[in-house]
Amino acid sequence: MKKIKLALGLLSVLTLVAFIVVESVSWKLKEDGYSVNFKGGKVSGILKGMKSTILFDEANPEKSKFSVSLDVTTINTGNGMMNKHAQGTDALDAKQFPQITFESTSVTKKGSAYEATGKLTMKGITKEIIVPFTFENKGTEAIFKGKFSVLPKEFNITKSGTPDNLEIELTIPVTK
Amino acid sequence: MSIKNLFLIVFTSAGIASIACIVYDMLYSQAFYVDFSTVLTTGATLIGCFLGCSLMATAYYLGIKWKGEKTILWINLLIIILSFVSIIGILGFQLPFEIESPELFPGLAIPMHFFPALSFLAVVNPMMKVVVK
Repeated sequence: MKKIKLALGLLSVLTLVAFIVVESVSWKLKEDGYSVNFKGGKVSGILKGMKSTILFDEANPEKSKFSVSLDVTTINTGNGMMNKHAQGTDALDAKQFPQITFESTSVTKKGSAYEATGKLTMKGITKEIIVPFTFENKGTEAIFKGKFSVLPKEFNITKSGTPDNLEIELTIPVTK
Repeated sequence: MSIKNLFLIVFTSAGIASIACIVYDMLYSQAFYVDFSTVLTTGATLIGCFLGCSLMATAYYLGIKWKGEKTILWINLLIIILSFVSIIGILGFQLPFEIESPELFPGLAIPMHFFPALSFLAVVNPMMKVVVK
């Protein structure tokens, strides 16, 4: 009986240890250091107001989870008129859809970098995208850097002057 | 109109315009809690005012030499038109992304584009009466 109890106890400890090992690391966004830049044609700018839940472990990327949102009203193209146009109904429609969100569904390692597949919701339309990114681990701090493209027309952004392709560049410093 | 008097008109009008620009910048920045000092530096303001007034004075000098005082009206009209045209550049100007409230930039920069012309036109006529004769 004692042997069974000991075996069960050992099994529980091993299970707990295994769970701790595969559990992803939670990272907190450094509020002042991140940047979300977009560029396409003559249009360029930044977005702010990021809120995020980041679970990421280099050793087990498949256990990772990203949940990120951006505030559309913070868009800054460096020009007041363009900011207003970008928030208009035929562009991002900030009044009705004040947030852009990304929810990852899977994260995989690709060579020395990673790829997050997930759902990007913009202007109420959800599309699956792949975000290739790198991860620089500096102990208690780290930096995620990613670059990907979106097609504004797929998200019903039809305003004249909108480029066919927008390149998004992310730099997200985090801390444990 | 001698070169010496031309310089006197340029320095007087550019000096007044520069002071007006700097004072307006200070008042505007405090009233609207904005800071465009990285884009609109004091140095750039001074250079802009001196360049603008120098161009206007040169136009006056050449115009008067060419066809006499009757060119003044046309030069004045040209100065006003060019001042208006210059604001198009401000409306399309793209500020660095880290500067907040870019929509307030035209409210600062557009009046400034008129200060050199206002100052020059205010100064040049009384000074011309002395200068030309």
